[in-house]
Amino acid sequence: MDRYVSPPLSVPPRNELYEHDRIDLELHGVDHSSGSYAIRVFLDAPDVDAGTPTEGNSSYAGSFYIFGHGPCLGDEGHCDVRRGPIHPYDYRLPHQLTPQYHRLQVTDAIRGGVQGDTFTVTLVPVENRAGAYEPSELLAFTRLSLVAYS
Amino acid sequence: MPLAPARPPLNPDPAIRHRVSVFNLTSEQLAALRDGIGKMKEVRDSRGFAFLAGIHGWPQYRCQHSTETQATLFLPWHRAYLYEFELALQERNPEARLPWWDWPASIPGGIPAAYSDPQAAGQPNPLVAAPLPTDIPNRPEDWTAETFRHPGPSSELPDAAAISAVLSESNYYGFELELETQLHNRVHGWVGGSIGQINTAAYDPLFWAHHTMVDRLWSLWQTQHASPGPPPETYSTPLGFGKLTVADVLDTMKLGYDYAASVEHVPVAGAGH
Repeated sequence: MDRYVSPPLSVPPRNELYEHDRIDLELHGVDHSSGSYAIRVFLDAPDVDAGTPTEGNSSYAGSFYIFGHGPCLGDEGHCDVRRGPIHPYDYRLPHQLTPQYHRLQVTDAIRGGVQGDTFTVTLVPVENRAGAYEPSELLAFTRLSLVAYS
Repeated sequence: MPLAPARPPLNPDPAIRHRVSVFNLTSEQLAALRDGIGKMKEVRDSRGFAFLAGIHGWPQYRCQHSTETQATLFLPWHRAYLYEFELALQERNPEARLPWWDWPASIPGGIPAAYSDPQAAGQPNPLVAAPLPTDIPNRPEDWTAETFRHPGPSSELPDAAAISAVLSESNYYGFELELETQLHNRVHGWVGGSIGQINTAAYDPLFWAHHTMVDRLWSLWQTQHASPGPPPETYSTPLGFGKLTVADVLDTMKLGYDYAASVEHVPVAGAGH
């Protein structure tokens, strides 16, 4: 997909008993079977796109970076993901294209930038094409999570 | 802003070899590196550049990166890979060392000149590119004969603050994940071209300086956090390079190298060395 806007997420409450405060944005089931790309993360800015500046933009919370496998070079089936062992004595490591988990610390962006009780997350994928970061359609994942620690 | 507090050598062993910053290579050190890489490219067997590059992506695909299903071997596997590559390099030129690419130092100027100057000593610079394999079953139409790069704006490289933030992760799993996904991945994508995909990344000579920086950051983290990092249950895991397991690669000194900013040796006339 070329863009993702989350439904409203609740701002995690601060725990005033503790100084520690950390909020992570997680992406699960991230596909990396194509080229490399970056996923720019914006909070409460559902209309942003690949041309939206990140520098000096208070809604920009950071980026995820995906190191892509590249196109399948092998014979038919080479890039079909093997889901786990084929029998109890299969000790091989996971298939290269097993989906990935990524996370980004967004504590400061949420505590400093979100005004209300809820906010949206907008993900904008961009690719380095000939030296410029251009819009991408490579974004693919199965779940977004917001996890707060105190 | 310093990348990390300066630290003393881990062990004053005179046999230890130092990997230094690519920006601080002496002319002799750079010449030895270029000579060694150039000679490795001429070797067509398992000691050669192409064979070793082919371990990471096409055709062997043995590299280890994080997945959703298991604790990663990203740092131990790549440390063993660099070790094997550097030994092959030193078989071609005993004075050659793998330098580390200090990414923040590239923000003003992009890819280091050592790896981007087209010519070196009147010859094509062997660190600019390398041949890509040709025997590809499903060869894309835009496949090239040699590696290529198209770096993005240098402001997109990780800066010193980004590196410090990753080094400050006290939990090893968090450190390794963020080093891989926030720094390592970012630089692969920034350089773009052949190094920007797992298939062909290790065929670009710059890959080795990039991963030496990754390995250096693990070494720095180990010193700062007084911990080797990987959980003990992974120690016996073989890494696919000789007899090396995770336990064998926890300490760079046991692999015969340390990281320094720069090194210069001055032989003393008449001292017998």
